[in-house]
Amino acid sequence: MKRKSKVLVSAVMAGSLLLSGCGSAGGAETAAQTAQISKESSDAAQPAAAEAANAAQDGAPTVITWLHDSYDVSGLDNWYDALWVRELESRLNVDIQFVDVSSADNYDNVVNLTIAGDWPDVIFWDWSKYSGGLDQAVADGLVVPITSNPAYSAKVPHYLDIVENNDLMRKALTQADGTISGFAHVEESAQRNAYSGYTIREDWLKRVGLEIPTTVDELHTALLAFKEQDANGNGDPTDEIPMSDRNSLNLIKELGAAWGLIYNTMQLDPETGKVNFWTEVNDGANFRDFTTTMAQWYAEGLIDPEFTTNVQDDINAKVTSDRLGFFHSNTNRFPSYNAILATSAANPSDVKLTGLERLSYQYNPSKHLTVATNLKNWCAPAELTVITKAAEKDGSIDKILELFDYMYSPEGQILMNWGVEGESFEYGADGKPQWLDKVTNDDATLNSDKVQEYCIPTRGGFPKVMSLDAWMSIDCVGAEAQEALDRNWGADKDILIPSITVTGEDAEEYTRIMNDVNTAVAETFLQVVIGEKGADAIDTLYTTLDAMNIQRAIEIYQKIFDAYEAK
Amino acid sequence: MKASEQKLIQGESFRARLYKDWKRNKAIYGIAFFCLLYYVVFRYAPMGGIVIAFKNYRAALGLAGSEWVGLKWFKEFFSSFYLPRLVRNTLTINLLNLVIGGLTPILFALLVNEIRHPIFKRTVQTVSYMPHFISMVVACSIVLNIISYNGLLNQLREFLGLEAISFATKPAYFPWIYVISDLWQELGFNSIVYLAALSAVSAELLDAAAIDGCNRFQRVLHVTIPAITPTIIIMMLMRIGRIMSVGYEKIILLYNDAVLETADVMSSFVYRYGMLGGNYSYSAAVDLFNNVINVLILILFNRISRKVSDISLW
Repeated sequence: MKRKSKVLVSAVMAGSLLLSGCGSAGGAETAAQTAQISKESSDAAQPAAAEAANAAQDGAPTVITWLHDSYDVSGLDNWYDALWVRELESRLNVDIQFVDVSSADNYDNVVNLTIAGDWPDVIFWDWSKYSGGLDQAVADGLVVPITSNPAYSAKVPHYLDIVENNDLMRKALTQADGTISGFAHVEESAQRNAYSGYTIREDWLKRVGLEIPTTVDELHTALLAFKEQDANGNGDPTDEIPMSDRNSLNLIKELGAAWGLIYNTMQLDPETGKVNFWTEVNDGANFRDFTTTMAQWYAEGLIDPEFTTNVQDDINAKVTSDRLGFFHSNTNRFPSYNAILATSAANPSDVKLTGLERLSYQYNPSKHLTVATNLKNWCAPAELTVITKAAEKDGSIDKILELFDYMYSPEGQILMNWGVEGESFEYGADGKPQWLDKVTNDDATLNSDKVQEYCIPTRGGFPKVMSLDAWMSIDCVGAEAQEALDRNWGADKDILIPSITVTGEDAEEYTRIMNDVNTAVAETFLQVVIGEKGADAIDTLYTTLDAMNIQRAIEIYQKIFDAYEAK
Repeated sequence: MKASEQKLIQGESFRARLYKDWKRNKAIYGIAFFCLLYYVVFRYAPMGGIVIAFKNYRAALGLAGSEWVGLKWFKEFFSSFYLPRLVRNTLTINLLNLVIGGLTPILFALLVNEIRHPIFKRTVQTVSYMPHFISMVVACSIVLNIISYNGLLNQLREFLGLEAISFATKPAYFPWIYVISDLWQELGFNSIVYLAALSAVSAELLDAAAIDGCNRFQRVLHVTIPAITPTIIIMMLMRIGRIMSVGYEKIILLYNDAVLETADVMSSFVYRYGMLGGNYSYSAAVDLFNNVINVLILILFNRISRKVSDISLW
């Protein structure tokens, strides 16, 4: 019924647009589309018998309305169809009613419209998108602060135990006033966040007679050889792309680590250990050298000229057509790359993708720095599930806290990461959970969708502990991927600052300065790299950055970082 | 309508006339109802939301609960480092679009109108509308593919012995890419209104012109174009009324950091800084400012048009 009325509304809208003869791109339509959210009961997905049994045991289940972005997994229509949701409902005697979000792309708008109207009991969101962050959402009376109320704290012992025992987690989740209000997906080990890094074709290196590069110079030599020789061995020395990147510059950003620089964000200075901005490290010498080196590589034809517009699919196509030698990759892509290269490569039996160790820092070769901030994030500090005042008002908050804590408990961790014993996994001889055949579907590589019918080992966004083993069994399969994971994780983390939401009195000034600064730097960096502008543009950039008051921004961030460290 | 009949209608009360007209034109009122409904629901009702431009809007507090901050967001926007560039880019793209995107549909409509073979004519029209119905995301990725370094355009250049150009990263090309791709998508659709106007051009006048010895070109020049001039002026005025607005969707789908110099317009800037940062008040303030300018320019040009040609929107 609901769907029908939607179709009708859009037909009328389209009709009147045509008739009135002047459509326009405006906010109104977007709002109208995203406003089409409605609450749906989960009755259909509930096994009626189990529900009846529960009701007999503990009375009627507690209804919990929950705003979460929509389910995008093939094979499932919505969250209710997943085993873990049904299990939670029957184990805790709750009735979770997910707010139906029809438009996944506009989740931010959906949240804004929802909290401008009737609040659901539970909201998952990236709270850095709320003006003033989570602190402000608590101050505005939307979010219930948890640890400032002893009665609430007492209900979530498992969660608080996990958080209190990890310094990085505790600092990330504790707000300015010392309370914790959000429920994060936390890591069993931050190693899980080491899933991305740079990858080289080791078989290409062999063919051109080179070792695995460990320095910028060695990498440069390897890329030159890829360009000049027939590295893929198909008889054509011109079809190799030595290195390519996505429009989001994943690879180039990671290469910046060899100069001790994190692209366009605040970082710790590799020399002084203090907060600094990448253009300012060593009075700008590092930035200048990095930028001009990339420009030189681009001019030499080592970097794919399409990199500014490439999306991941383009990279995948270049890798799997045996044309790309050096690229950025996540560990979960190794199996599919290998599977396709096994038929497409000129010499399939040689193919070897190797995750590189981080290159030596140009100014101190014993360091192998990384820019992967996530390695210091043991939880997503702003992507949090919170309980709203609505739950306090209707009295469901106690049950919600009980539910959340269960999700962090040892029993709950198994359910969230592995599902139900006998249904999705069984314990092996070593006492560790192992997937049943029907989950892995006899195909150990492409099961990331199938598994989500049972549980969510590869997904955050809910109160849960991310199990490293469960995650690896899906997203880090095979020796090459696991080796890459270890290498990514083994990098030096000296320049990383964990994600901190900038709040407080100086936040506005900081944001204003950095908005302008980020635009100026991103623009100049790319223009110099692709040769649209010469190296003198870097001098102009420095004048501009001073005018924008970059030093003031660094000062503000240092203060915020000090406060974070003091937590 | 006969003079006596007109007099009769004018003599009746408004309500009586409305009732009579309603009885006679029920279907048309039915159609108009949905148009009106659209404007009330999606164009007038949301106007109340403009107040958030003067508030520090936070959804949880609602429209009424958010604190007033006066002209804070306007001041912040005017002190923005990139304001001159944003205005320049917005105007460049819109003026190019006004001239190219505004005039070519007229030319196209005139050409289509001259086609005598009905099936061929209908085919041309349908084919030209089609791109309008491709979603923006798909259309932009088609464009990016065509202009990419190894794309169709460069393959063509290489075939002709020319060097490949990285169109997507050269600031000078961006406005042209924007406008020409817009033309591809909207040419056919925008010509519909002119084709409608052309079908109303008096056949008698055209015949008379032919008898007087006008050739086909002269007939178009002296009969057809003057007949559709009011439509042209109205359509142009409506475009001028959007001179400060460029939708952000297409911009952010087409641009990259290398071309910000010519590609960053007000709406894309606001999208990055306002919407992505959750600062809806800031976005509202900039939009409000843009629309005030739009309305002022529209009023100005409407007045000029009324003086010069006697044709105006109101």
